[in-house]
Amino acid sequence: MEEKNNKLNKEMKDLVIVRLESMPDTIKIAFGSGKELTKEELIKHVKEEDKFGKLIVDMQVKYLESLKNL
Amino acid sequence: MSEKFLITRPTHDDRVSYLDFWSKDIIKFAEDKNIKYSDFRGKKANKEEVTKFLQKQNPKLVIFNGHGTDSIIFGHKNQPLIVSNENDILLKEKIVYAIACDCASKLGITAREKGCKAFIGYTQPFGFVKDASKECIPNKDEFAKPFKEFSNEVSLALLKGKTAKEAKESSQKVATKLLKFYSGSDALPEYKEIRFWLFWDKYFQELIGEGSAKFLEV
Repeated sequence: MEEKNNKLNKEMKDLVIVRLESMPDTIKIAFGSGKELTKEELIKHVKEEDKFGKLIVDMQVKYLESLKNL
Repeated sequence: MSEKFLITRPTHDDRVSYLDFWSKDIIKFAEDKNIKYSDFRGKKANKEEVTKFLQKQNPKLVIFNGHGTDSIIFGHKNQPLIVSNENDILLKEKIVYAIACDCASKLGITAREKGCKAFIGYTQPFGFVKDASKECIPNKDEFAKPFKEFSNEVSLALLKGKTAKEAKESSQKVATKLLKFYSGSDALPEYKEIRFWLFWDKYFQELIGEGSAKFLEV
């Protein structure tokens, strides 16, 4: 079961990375007190699975689920 | 109508300059409706002046624009204005809307414990999409516009006499409307990011305290 969950998480992570890779270079994300987030930085957080990266994956999943109710 | 509100709007970097620009609509609305306010913009958004004003003028509503952490709302040049368990008693009896990252996760709670009537803020960083080619020109940035609409709705609803709960709900409805608008079949590639970060801000917007608290009786 744990292996299945890990695989699922990897699938989610890969899906989010694919989505982030499609982020246009014409925009920046103003976020928090640090400098703006670029596509590369967002992907790095997700790949490294740090606290923020995990939150991005979690929120992307919640966001995709929410689209069903729009 | 004698109630007044305080608005802080530092201008020392690009991101707070966006919030500063967005606040112009709130100020214009207040002026059109003869609602009294004090505008602590730029250097005036400092701890000394804000503290003095909160203590002596006792505004019923405070709108903070600026950077934040879970326990601090910052002003000009990231000088702390309100710090959890240090001077959050200044928010006693007040309705607060903080467009500042994270501060609803801790500061909002401790302020409430000190008697803040209602605190609307964000439990994670507030994010918005910027047009990379329009940096420092917030009035020309169409990608940032929906975030202004979503965030400003809280303040505007409060100035229209809505309760804190209604103001939050109204902002949430604006977010839903915008999420639909930016989902059209002719959506630009940038709209996908606008939708996600709007969803993010909508999800992490929080009301702590009395939902029935009102700035104005109309």
